[in-house]
Amino acid sequence: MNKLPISRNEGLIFDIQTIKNLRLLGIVGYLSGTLPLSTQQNNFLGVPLRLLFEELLYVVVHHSEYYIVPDDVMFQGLYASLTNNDLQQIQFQAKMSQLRTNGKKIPDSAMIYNTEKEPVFHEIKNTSSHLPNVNTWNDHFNQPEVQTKLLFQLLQSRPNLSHSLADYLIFSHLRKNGYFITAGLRFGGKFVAYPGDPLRYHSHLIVKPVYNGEKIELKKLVNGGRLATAVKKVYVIAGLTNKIDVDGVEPQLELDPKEFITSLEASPVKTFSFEWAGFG
Amino acid sequence: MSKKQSKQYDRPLPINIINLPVVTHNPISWIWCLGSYVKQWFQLKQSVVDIQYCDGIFKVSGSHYMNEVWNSGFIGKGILSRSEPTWLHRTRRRLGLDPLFDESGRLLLTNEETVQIRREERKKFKLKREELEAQENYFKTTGDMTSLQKVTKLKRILIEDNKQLQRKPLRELIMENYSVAGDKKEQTRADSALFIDETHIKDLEYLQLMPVEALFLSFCFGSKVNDFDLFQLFQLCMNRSLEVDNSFILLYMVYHHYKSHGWCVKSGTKFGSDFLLYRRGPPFQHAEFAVLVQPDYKPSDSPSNEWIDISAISRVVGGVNKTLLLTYVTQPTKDAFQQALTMFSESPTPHSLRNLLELYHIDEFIYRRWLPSRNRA
Amino acid sequence: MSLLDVVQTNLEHFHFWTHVNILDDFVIQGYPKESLTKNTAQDTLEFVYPAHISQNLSLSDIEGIFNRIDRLLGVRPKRIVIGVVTDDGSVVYYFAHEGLIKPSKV
Repeated sequence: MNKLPISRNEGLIFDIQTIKNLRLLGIVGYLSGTLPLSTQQNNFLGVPLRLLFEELLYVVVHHSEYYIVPDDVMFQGLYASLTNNDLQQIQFQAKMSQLRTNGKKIPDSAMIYNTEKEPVFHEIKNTSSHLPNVNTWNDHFNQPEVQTKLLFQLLQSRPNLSHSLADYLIFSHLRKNGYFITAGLRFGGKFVAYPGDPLRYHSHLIVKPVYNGEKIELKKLVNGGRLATAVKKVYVIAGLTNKIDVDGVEPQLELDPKEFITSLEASPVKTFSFEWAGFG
Repeated sequence: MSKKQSKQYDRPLPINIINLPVVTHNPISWIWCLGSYVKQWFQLKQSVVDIQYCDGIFKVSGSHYMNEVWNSGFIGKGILSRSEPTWLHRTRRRLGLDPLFDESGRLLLTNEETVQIRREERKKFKLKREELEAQENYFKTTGDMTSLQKVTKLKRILIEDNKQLQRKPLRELIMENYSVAGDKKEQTRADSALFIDETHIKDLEYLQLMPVEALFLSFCFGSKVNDFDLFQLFQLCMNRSLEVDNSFILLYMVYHHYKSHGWCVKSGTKFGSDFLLYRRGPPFQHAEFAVLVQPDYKPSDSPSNEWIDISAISRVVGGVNKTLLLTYVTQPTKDAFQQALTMFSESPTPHSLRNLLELYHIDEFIYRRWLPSRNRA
Repeated sequence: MSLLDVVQTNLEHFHFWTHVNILDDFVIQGYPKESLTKNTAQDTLEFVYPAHISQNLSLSDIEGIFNRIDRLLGVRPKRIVIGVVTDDGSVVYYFAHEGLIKPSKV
């Protein structure tokens, strides 16, 4: 299992092995740490690796061996959202898997938490600030139920969820077509896509999302095409064929964000590539 | 730039002036001066050209009038040329109706023809380079090192030669490789409807003016546009929406601002901006600045530029060695605007338009991409 | 002059295209002087959709151009050319491909 630590709603990875593993999945991120002795240099950046929101979401949705570890702020949000029943269930799961790892033979059927039965372990929700915290909960975060809640919390932290989901679906469309993706602001796009690892290839696409069937100014399209051609790339506009009604989907997102996002990925992403026609 | 061209473009605005010789204490010079004044006064041409408006386009037709407008401040654009209206000359030479060199053997090449020849040369070079690169790859896979070295050497020579070629004067290039002139074959390709008779063709070109240019000529130099008065023309340019933040008036303010500071102002759409500023004009040098007009707050009829778009524009502009200017137009209050507008509609004179425009203010900023590692000097 | 006329004139008399004509009052077809596709000597029919720089287009607007050519001719072109008329009357041309493509070697 690989941990994806969250800091201020952003994936921030310090573990070299995890960074290597992510790279193998086609998740590049960007190194953002500088050297303690020369803090102004920015040519040789190191850990932590920052993940784009889309990268974080992609890994969590598609690779179950990765799980989110919240920071204090996020943990407080999580803890506040839990009911007593949730807490009992989480405690139960943690104890049972601990017993299993200690060599006890426990049948799968006994692992399922039954609300009808008298609970085996009790933890009463405690509001005092110094009791439960990220460290005492460290063993609980990889539970699927906890992950579901954390993921939903992360989605809710987005300033514009509808745009974020559209960005994510475009990202995922590109990734599934074999592209490696990085942020594209310096080329006037949301993403820049490479045909393989950015260390080996030059990028091919500058990608600009179009949201909710909106129209794009031709002026911007021409400008994007011009810029892309000048740097030997293609300017791509991408958008969803089906509109996502964010308010309508929130209950489904809360119930099972992974499942719901996977189902969204089935609906097609429309793309058009622009480049200078070589005359005029 | 030849002396002849310098003389051709000696007026930055459509204003004719009388050049007087130096006056000394010698009375003969006074007479000389007076004579020169009278002579030039009689020769002084009427240089105000009228503009036609139809189907949403401001036009000037007829080569005499087109040149008059173009030569006095590079206003307008030939619709079948890159900027200066030279389509008729080019087409006549292409069809072999006119020679390529003048009597003194000087090459008569327009901007478009130069670009075409350079592009063709570049295309030829790229084809050859691709061929050699394919061979290189082949020898790399077969491991034939001696052949690979040979091909790599050939490629190096080709690239060197190409550098030489780029420095070569066009005249020599044409003498060696081209028959741009006198190609009778082109005549058969061309549309027969183009010909009036065997030696004359129709002039399909007109000079198109941007709305800001049409208003500028009409407002400052009295050009007539159809039979509109100044207010009607203003209304037309504003697309009948007479609001204080109409995007046309913001564009016009900026156009007029730079024009009155002596810059040659052309459309900047090519580089994603609103205007380009030339120190003198397109025949003399490249534009130095690209201008992006910014309202001081978001106008009702146009979406504002997001960071990502400004970043894209700045990359395009930076890529062609120009500086991006963000020019902010501060608008008056709606009441002040309405009041001046009513006065203008009641008396559609340049004076009342001036009173209206004086309510706006301009501020400009340079926008430049900044990289911490490269800007630490 | 309509946008169609402006772009048609530009193609014929500035870029020397041949057999230029307007298809179903929305798109121009014709043959460029030299093939626009790299490394092909063969003449290929191109479709040019005229537009004005001040226009806005949605993804479905662009898809609609492909659909309409498809319906008219029974062939869906891989790419079309968009001829954009700018504010000073010049026309710039851009390829619009359906889907993702590799940048052509410049």
